[in-house]
Amino acid sequence: MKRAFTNYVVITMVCLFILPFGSFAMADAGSKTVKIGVILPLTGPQAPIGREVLRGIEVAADMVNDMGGIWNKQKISLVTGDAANSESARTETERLITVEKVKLLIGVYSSSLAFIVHPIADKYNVVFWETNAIADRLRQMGHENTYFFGPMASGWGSQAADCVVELIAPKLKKDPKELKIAVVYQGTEWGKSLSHDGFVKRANELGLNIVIDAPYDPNTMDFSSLILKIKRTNPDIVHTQNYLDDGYRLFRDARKNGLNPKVWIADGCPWAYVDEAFQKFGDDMNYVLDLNQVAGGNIWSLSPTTQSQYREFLDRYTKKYNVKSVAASSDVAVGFTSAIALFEHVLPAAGSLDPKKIAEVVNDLSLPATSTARPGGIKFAPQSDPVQAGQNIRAGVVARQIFNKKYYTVWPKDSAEIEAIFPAPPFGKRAFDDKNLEMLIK
Amino acid sequence: MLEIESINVYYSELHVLKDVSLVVNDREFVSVIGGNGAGKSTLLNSIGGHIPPKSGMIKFRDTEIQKAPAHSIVGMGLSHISGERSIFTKMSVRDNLLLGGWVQKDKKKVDAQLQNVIGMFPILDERKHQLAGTLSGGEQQMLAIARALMAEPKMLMLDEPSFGLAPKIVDEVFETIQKINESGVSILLVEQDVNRSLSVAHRAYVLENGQVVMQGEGKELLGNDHIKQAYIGM
Amino acid sequence: MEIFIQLIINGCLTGTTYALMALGLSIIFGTLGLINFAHGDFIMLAMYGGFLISLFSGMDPYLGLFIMLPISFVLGVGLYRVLFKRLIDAPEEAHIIATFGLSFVFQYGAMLLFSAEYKSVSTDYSADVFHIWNQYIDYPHIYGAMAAVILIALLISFLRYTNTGRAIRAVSEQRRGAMMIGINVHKIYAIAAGIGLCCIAVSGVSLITFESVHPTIGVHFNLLCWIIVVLGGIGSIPGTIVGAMIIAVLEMLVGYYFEPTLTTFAYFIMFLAILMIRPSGIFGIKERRA
Ligand SMILES: Nc1ncnc2c1ncn2[C@@H]1O[C@H](COP(=O)(O)OP(=O)(O)OP(=O)(O)O)[C@@H](O)[C@H]1O
Ligand SMILES: [Mg+2]
Repeated sequence: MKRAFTNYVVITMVCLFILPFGSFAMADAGSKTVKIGVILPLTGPQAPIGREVLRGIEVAADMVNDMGGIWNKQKISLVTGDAANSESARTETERLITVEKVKLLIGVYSSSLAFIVHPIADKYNVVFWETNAIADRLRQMGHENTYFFGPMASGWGSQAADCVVELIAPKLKKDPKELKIAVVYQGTEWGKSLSHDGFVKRANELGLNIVIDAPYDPNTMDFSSLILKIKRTNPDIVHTQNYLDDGYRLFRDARKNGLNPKVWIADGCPWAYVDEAFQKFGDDMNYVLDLNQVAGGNIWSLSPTTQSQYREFLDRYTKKYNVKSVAASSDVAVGFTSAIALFEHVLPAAGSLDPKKIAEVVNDLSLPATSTARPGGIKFAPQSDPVQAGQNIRAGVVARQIFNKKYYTVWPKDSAEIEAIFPAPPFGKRAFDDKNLEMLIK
Repeated sequence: MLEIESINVYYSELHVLKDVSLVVNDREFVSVIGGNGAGKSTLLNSIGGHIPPKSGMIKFRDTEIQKAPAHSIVGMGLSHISGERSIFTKMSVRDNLLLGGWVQKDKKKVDAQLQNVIGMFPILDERKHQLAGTLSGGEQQMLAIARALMAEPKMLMLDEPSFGLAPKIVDEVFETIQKINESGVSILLVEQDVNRSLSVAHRAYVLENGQVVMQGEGKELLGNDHIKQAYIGM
Repeated sequence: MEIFIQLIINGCLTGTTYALMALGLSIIFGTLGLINFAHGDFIMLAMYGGFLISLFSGMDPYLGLFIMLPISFVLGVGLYRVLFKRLIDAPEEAHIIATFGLSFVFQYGAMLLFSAEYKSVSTDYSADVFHIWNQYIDYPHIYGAMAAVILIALLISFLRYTNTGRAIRAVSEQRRGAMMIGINVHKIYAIAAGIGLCCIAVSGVSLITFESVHPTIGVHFNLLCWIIVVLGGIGSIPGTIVGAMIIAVLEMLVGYYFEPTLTTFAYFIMFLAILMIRPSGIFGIKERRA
């Protein structure tokens, strides 16, 4: 019995350590390579997104390698680490730096993980190219070699407030100040900086009417109480920030409790990207306005080379991973755009992975919105900036409206594919005929 | 009925029963006496299948049972009432009794036996819907005995049934055991009350330090000087 | 007042869901004394079970129970024979280590089999809402509550009125006493494990009609179920139900009248407070294990 128990423990331990790390076993290939570490949640609750980001980075590396690589035909080789939770984020980052000896890391997607991972990279003086993590405070920690390619939370949230004024109010034919806005978000670092420090602050500057500012506990299994609280304020617009689990529940409970705002804004909510949401809510998902740092939403306005590069990425991604389309999960595009900017605009010019050289290149970088499929363009704030050190200050968001499992860019104006349609009909009456779209296409 | 041939029982390293042999005949009332820690409870536990002996043989109605699991021994007709009473305190008296008939798969027989047992212990009938944990000590002991009888055993082993009971209740318990014996059930009794136990038993064994040091008829041993000195204190 | 009623209705419906989730744990912990930290992951697997059945057969997940219940029972018995049996007499640390290990195996196994994506089932009644006197009740929760009520009624009558049910109660109270009346305790434990897994199957199927499943969803469930079972009193089914109701209603009231960020925190505090007054839980009787 004792033996059997020991066997059991050994087997579980093996599963524990081998399975999650199995993926990187084959990554090392060839001798003349530039080793780049990728740290992302590849297992655990955030894995659906982490894995997509990884795929985008992989396609970017493939494309660069097929074009002959960088610096005298050296190929990029990716070494991955799994930041499944805070503990493994720590050990895996340490491993990548000390065992795998990588000099540059890309990742880590989630803000809470970034708070763990960035200081480690900084400690070893390793460059960190952050794809997504948006919490404002990350920019204020004095990590000189950390760069943020995506937008920061407050900037993101404040753009949503602009969207209310520029897009939504005119569509509802109302004065923006008359609209009642409910703000709902996770009571987490990410949620507070996006919704409270970003959206609410900007909304107040713009004189908008916030009727309720409601952070919540993302572990709640049933949000009816929160929804009833919101419903009492009878809002025209509900601005939400959430993650997959809580996002689904919040939307489900809004529907079941008959909360029917004219506009439902899903700001930075990854759940709005996943096919699953349509399966779950069917037609009721129509009319949702999704605000995100989504790549490719601006494809019409890109330069021809960037546009064809992005199309090649879409093509390669769908073939390599045998998926139907990218639209369902744009996190892959986030990974791709972050990585390709690094591989194309930073590393070749720097000539090595030396942090100082990279810093020089990044400082001088100034690329227009047409040069990246990630909306906004590329220009980094200096590391001396007190609030947004290392931040790509041109990183922006686009608003897309969801119809029948597809996303249509509606804002900012110059990237828009169609005219947005508001107000949304009540839940249960949201079936939408694609024929109507033809009239809206610009 | 029961034949034990030189069994040796250990608690890991501790050698508790040393070459113990013992016989209980059909319808016989046998007592085992001995000081604290002599190994009396161990003997019953070993027969009952809770602590299998390392060597030796235990035969119950011509079947070797030294390796049989405890539950199957009960099924063969040998019931055991341990010192800790082990009734189900969170269940009703009736449920305790019904469970006593677990080994009897024929539901009609269980019902019939329930009537029988309740006839023997009228107090339990009055209390049948009460939780067993709320019974008095004596009632709990009666319930433990009644529950064991539900299995219609051929032989009953009891470990200190009088422990912690008032003298008047002890009398009742002894009377009950004798009645059960008279109804044809063999008895193997372990008791601290040596005087009483020897006077009711047909035969008795004296266990000291894990060994049988003396055996004989109950009355005969009652007159033995060694017994008088060591156990009765005269 | 209307809102208060709505909150209480929602709380009770969520409460029955919680009770359903905790029931399997209550039985396995109460009977076997097994500290199962993989309970949430068992629920996760059951949710995938419901998902797979409705994916492949197009059946309503609840109908899938006709397939899932026998499988769960056999799995429970098998799991008892292979693992739990070795654990029940081992020290508690072994329970914790082994079931934590099991939990990881389940999570990574699910990750390999189903990927990390969120999966859910949409049924004809997914979006249906029952609207009466200005109160909103959604059908998935109504059916979930009905499933819970039926299961609880079956379970209680099984434990109370059948021989095997009595034996389960007996074994959970007094293992030695049960052996002494001829009960094969390992067989009863195996049956109890099977029943525990059946309860988990019902809860998984019920959850999949209104929740999405992903490989790590069990982590939060596990904590929740443990709190409910300990709060209600170990081994007491009524305790589990009351514990579940208290927590769910508390979450609702705190979320509405107080602070939506503090729902989990509030039931933690409640949990500690009740254990301070009644260390063995609301319905707990002082444990005396043989
Ligand atoms: N579970 C156990 N593990 C180890 N040793 C034990 C165990 N049970 C009993 N013993 C030891 O075995 C010996 C015999 O114990 P046993 O309980 O059989 O004595 P007993 O004759 O019934 O005594 P008493 O009259 O006090 O009940 C004692 O020395 C005791 O310490
Ligand atoms: Mg004893």
